[in-house]
Amino acid sequence: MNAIILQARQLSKTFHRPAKVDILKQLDLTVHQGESIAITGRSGEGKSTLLHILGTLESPSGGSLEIAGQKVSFFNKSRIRNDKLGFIFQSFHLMEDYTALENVLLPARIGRRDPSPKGKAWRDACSLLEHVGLADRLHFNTKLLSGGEKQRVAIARALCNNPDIILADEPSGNLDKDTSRHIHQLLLDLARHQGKTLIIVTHDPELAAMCQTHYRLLDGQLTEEW
Amino acid sequence: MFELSIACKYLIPRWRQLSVSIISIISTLVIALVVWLIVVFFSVKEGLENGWIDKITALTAPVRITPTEKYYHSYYYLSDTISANSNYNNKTISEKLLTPFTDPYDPYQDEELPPNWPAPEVDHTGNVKDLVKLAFSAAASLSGIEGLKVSDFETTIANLHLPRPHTSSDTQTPQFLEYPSFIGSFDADSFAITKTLLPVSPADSHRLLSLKIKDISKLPIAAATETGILMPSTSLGEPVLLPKGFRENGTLLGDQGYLSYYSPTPSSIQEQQIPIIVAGFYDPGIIPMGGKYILAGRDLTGLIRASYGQEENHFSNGINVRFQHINEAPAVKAKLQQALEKAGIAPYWQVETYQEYEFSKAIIQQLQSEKNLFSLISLIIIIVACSNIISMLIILVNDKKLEIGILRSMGASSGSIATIFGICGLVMGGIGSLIGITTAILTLRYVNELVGWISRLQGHDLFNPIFYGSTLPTELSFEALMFVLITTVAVSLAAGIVPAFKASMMRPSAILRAE
Repeated sequence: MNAIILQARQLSKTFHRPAKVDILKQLDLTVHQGESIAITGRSGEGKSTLLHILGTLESPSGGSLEIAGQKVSFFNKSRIRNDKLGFIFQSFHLMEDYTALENVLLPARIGRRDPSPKGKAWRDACSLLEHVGLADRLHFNTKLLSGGEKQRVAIARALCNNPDIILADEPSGNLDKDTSRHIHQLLLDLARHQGKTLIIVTHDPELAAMCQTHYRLLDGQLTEEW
Repeated sequence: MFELSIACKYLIPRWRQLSVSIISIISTLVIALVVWLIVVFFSVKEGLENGWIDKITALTAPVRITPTEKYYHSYYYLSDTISANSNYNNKTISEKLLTPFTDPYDPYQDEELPPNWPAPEVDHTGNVKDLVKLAFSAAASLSGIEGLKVSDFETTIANLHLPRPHTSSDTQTPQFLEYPSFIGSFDADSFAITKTLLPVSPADSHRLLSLKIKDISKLPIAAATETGILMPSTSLGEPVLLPKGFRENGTLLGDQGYLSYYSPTPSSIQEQQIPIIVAGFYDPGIIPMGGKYILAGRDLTGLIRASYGQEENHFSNGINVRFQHINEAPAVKAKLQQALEKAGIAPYWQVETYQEYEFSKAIIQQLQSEKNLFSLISLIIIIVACSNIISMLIILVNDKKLEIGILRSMGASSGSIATIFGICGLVMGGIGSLIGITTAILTLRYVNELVGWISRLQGHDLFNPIFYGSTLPTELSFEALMFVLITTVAVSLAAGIVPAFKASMMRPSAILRAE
């Protein structure tokens, strides 16, 4: 068994508006390095909330979270997000008016790595875009790319800073079936090839089945599906 | 720095963000307009003020040393009145400088010292201190002051009698008008004074020709040279320089008149007359008594002063300390005071800068007050202009909400997000300032053409030459430049704080889910 890369203890999340809802209830989760996890559940069960908490985008109402051995706090979560995590969203969330390469380089720039063509970040970004099959689209404005291409740019961007964990929220939700299949395969292959931990929130049972572990979120608790 | 690159992307006008682009362009132009206005206004104002101060210091000096009450009650000063060596007369500072007697009193020849007569001020060797020569020596020995010149000055009063101005049809009978005036000596070897000398007018030339003087070198014209003013040597009268008000009232170069004053004689007080000739006109600037201040040679002022008690007006006699840079005046004053202290004569002398002279203090203070007031008004205008930045940035923050969420998801800290919008405000303020400063430089270059054009349009002078001179200053004020740059940048930065804070406080999770 690989080392633990993410550990959530007694995580809870309560929304107070418009009415009090306990969306996560003392939830525990342990993820090992290189593991691929799918989290499924009904709409409104709190899958995205859980993913955002695991990705430090949202603070839990209770409990603690440790990523790569570091306890997440207000002061280090931006740094952890930049160094250890990569996000892939359903709506791609690429920066407009930027090229594919510029988008992929953004995490490196935020992390103060040299984004110039002479730097390693540039080479890594080009290599990632080649891996996702966009070698000929490096300098295309993302507005000109198709949905599948945009999601590939998002995958490359998520991997740019060589993070330990990739968090994907419905990565194929906006794509057709064929493209979805390609994206799923690409994502899993890259994660496996690079030894990344993958946490995917999805409605797609096919994608969930491709992951090593499949959790169902129900009533604020995770239960493992077999 | 990724914050800067993101901010620059946001600031480039785009069709897709038309409202933000229009607001940002208008905000920048408003800042540019305000900066242009402030820089032009302050530059012209500073130029005029510097011109006025130059004239004040040209006619006086940046620093003056004047005798105190203690000087006039000292043994050194009073001993002349009981000494045969001094003809029982008080001496002016100029005379004190020239006399070989520091202590003219001879106990064997002169009457006995009255009781309560002040004790002599003696040095460590027991000799009477020569207060004037020591003061001159202290001033002249100041080090590290460029262009240092020390000379005495005298001001006195007399009645100036000049022929009725040449507007009268009756030119046969000389009729004189009497002007109570101040007569002041001036440092003819000071270059600063040449800047106040007015050029010869066509009417003056005509008048000079009518004098029928064949030898051109004998013409009674004061000439400005590289080293100062060269006063003419003429048998027609003592050459004097009149303030420009006389010229405006019809007095011409070469006009002859006389100065009258009253002098005590053994039998009575009699009127004395000294013939004078108008050798030039000068611009006295804004000195309140400038219109009545006649510049004459030191011999003439000394002669008239000798008829009055020297202590009647302490400020009418003293030592001028001139130097190259008048902004060094406070430092020179401090050095002078130290030197006088060291010589042990500080209580006998008062050292003042041009900002403290009795006749110019009020004006200088008024100019300073106006400057402070206008600076405050300018600051308020800049704040109003930059407040547009707040609205523009708030719209931009709302417009870029999703991008803020994306950047946060990639690890951008709330500080980085705040920095991006802070930079946006700063860049807008900076660009506005640069446009404003550039147009201000261009405006200043052509300010006189512009004023001439507006004057022609309205049918009379936009600025009265009597107060503002024939041309306006065109030099860019460094102080104004620094003021607008620092203020605009600081206010723009402050204006960016509210939107930047708003942006940094956005919850990335909420944004990403909402989108």
